[in-house]
Amino acid sequence: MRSWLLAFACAFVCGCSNPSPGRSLFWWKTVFDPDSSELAALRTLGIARMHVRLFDVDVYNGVVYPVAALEWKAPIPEGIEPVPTIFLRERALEGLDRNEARKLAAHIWSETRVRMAPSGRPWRELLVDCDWTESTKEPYFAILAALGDSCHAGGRILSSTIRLHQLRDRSRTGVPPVDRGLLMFYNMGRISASPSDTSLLDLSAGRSWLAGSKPYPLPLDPALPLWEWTIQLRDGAVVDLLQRTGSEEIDRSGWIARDSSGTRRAKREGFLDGHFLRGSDLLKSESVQMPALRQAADMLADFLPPDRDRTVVLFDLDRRNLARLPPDSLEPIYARLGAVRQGSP
Amino acid sequence: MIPIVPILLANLWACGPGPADVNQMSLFRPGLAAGAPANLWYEPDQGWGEDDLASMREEGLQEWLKWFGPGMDRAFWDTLLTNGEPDEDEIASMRRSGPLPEGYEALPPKVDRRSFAEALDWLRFAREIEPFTKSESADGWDSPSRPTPPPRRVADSLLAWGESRLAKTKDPFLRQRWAFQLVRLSFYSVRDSLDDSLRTSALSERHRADLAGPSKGLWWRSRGYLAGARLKEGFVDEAWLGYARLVWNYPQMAPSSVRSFHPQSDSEWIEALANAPTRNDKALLWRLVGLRYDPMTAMEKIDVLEPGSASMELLAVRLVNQLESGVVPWDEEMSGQSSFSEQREAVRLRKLTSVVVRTGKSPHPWFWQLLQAHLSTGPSDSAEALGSLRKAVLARPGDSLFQLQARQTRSIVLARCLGPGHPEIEEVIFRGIADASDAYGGNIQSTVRAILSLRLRKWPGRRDDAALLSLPEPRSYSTPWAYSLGGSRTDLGLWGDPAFLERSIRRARNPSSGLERWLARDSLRSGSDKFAFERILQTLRIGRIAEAAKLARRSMIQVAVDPFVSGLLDTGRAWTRDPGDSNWNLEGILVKMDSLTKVAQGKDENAAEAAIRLGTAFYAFTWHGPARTVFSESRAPVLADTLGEHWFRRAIAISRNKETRAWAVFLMAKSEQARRYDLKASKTPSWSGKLSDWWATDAFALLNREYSDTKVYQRALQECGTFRSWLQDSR
Repeated sequence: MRSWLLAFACAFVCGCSNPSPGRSLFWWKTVFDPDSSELAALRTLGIARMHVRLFDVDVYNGVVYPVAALEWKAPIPEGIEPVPTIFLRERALEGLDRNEARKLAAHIWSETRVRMAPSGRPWRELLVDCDWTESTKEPYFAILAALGDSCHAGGRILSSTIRLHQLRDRSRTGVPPVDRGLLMFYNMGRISASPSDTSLLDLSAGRSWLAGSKPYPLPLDPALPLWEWTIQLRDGAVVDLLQRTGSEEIDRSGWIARDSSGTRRAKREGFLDGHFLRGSDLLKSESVQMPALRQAADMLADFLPPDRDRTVVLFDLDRRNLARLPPDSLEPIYARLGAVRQGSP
Repeated sequence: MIPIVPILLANLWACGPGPADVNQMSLFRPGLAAGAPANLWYEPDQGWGEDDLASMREEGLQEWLKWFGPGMDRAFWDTLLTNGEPDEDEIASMRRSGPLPEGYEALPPKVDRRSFAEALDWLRFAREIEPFTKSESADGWDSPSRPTPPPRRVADSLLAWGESRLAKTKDPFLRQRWAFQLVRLSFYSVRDSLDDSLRTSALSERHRADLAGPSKGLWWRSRGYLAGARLKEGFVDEAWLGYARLVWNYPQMAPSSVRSFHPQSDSEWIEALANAPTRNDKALLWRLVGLRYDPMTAMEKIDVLEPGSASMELLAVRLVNQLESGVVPWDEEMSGQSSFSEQREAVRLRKLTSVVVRTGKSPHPWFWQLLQAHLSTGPSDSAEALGSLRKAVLARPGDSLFQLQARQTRSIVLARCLGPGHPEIEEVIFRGIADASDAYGGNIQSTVRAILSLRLRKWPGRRDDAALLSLPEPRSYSTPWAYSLGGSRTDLGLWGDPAFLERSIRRARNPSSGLERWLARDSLRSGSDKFAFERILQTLRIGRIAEAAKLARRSMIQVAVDPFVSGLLDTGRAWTRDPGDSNWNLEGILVKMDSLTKVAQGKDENAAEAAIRLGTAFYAFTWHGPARTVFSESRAPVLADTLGEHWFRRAIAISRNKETRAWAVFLMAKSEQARRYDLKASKTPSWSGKLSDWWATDAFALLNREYSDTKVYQRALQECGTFRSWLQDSR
């Protein structure tokens, strides 16, 4: 607790003469139209940057396409720097040779520029999110190399997500040719029916991953989760993952009941947030709770070396997440990782 | 009367190596179901199939040719449809009786010019709107759903043109085509305004009578546009019903319709069901749910609405195939986690199948009888299964695909309840699985072999047969550790027994039972050759090269690389079995190895070189070596790379040339690394460990300790990253 108070105090009191790590919240929805609670959170937390998922890259019938592009219904709020993020599905990399990879990079670059125009703000970093593996390392790194050239030519930097298995097993998965990495400290647990398994933020697994990892040869920005999801179970087995569904949506449905043990069970078949449930299916919601989030921040603070250019990213900005984890409660998380409020001395 | 014996239930599902793709593990042919176009057999998630587009195109072309009459030349009209850009003058000229306009000289004389002019008029309009209906990118980067809508005034002008032409056209065939192009244009003209989208719906309704013209394809394609428009307009219940009907009635658009179906809220689904006008419509909506989400629940709902409905059949085969493959189709990461769930699903499916058979309301009772037999589990329900099969087979005498499935399903049923002392039933079983010409047949063969092998090994005097039946298919590259023997892995079972191999060779050459005849016909080579091949390997495995060479006489197996050439790094792996790459055949290699063995008994540098080449050859045939494909068709583990190490040690012992010895040490390191890898991987479920887990620590240490002043050492430092990593770690 003391380390928390100390960190919290330092964040506000210490007159840091060097630039301090910044704060970011991730926007993952396909329409950019933050509501009042989301805008307020940005102000309350002194957010300097917003990572914004711009489009995915997927493959269809052998042809690679941009899909699920962001629709701008509002500009990025003033004073906040957007970080466009491209989610590149690993399957889109399969079989790509060097030329094709470069060509794809050119498409991604021009699509990014076009789609960022409505944001109304300049941007200086591009993030590529891809869960690459040893077998897709070559084309992925070729794409990054080409994107890096484009970024640098315009005075921008390029970053890539780094998942925990890529952090630890870098001898096989390689280190991407980027300027910075975004360390995704979540989804490290097992998605299972067991009540004791927590897939979103499994601290024991996270500790193990970090312990098995040597210092990474890239500067890393940490990303922590805020969201809640629901696992659909049937006959004791996992059927599906409802990524955007939490307890609130379930309880609002009217046809999913909570029994005396707290278990939620569908009373009949039906659709919930685009997923088909069978009558008697069970729903196990997992959400990130503050104590776990704090412990995760502690682990990362111990693991990551000091970095004046670091950004701490919380995923994601959504009113439902804010309802469970109000902005005030997130302040210590940023502070623990050294990310001061924008405009702080 | 088939005796029912109390035996253990065998594995229900297909087994065998290979990727867990649904269609590669299935035992029941989906084409047997009603309303089961191939593009819906498995997951329709790969976009517009080229086959579907080609089919629609061909359908349209055939309709035109029929309309023109027998005089029209197919290639002539096809070329025009694809590339033609008729202009007003050409059309006017065509209407007149003078010379044909330039470019149309090839118009067959029997084709009516006025009709042809009307067709060109339509084609001109279709060509005019085409740019607005396609994405512009040449290399496909732009999503296919992103064509650029025309400016509003252009769209209005085009629509007015089309409407005016439609009003003047009398022929129902052409009227339908005009109406379709109008719907298409209005669909792709939609911008953000809801009014734009409603225009598509209104237009579709206004021209409904024309759209229901001669072409079934155009009718359904127009319904596809209408469903899309209703979806944009927020009338999702109508959209879902539209897609449901499309899937049933127009296979070419079925996959895209299934993918377009994505209810987000329960209320919209309930509304869709409530507003569906007929029970058949409700059943079709449930069918859509079954194709996309939950086939079992969907079938149970459909059976209540329309007992025995043919619309369930495709769902049933898809579910059967999913259960057989053990793949959860919607998330690869979750596959394999729900075996209990799958068993429960199988029980529900069996129950529903029995109900459908019993109530007798299906228009295709033979399908459900066959399925009931296929789903049987063993002795407890085999009598019922065989009875159902008999009825099904009698009902479909001329259906060769059905008869094939029935024979093979019968083999599975009989295998599950076979008892000792019934050779006549074994004959029936093996005759039933003789045909492995498609993937299903191959999978059924594997399944029956697995079931029988489990039974036979417990029966007196059938140990050989059980071993023969349990032979896996040639190993895939996914289990490399199985190819080489490492350390103490020497248990080959009967495959290490020369007497068993000789017996098997004789049986395959002179088959007298169903099992032997089936073995002799087995897919790769003739049965006796396979066992002879195993005999060669077994002999080579224990180092009896001369004997192996003798056995390999006339074997004619080609090898694509020279196994005697050694490199610092393993490159040019012989992935291909193309014999054109080298002149070596197996007999030649073994003869050469035998001759090298004799030379390597000496004590001079020639002997050392011979020993190195021998070691190189033994290493080449392991999984890690460049010639591994030679033995990839073996049923048994391949070669001990300890044999390679043995010969390298010999070279080190006899050579006086330090560079030669250093080279032998480095090659020995490769063999040691291979051996360590195999041993490690064979003991752990996942073989993707760290490189340091199988470093050649002994040979590397020797190289470093005693040969650091050699050129070989310097080369190893420069070129071998593994050696550098070991060196760095060891300092």
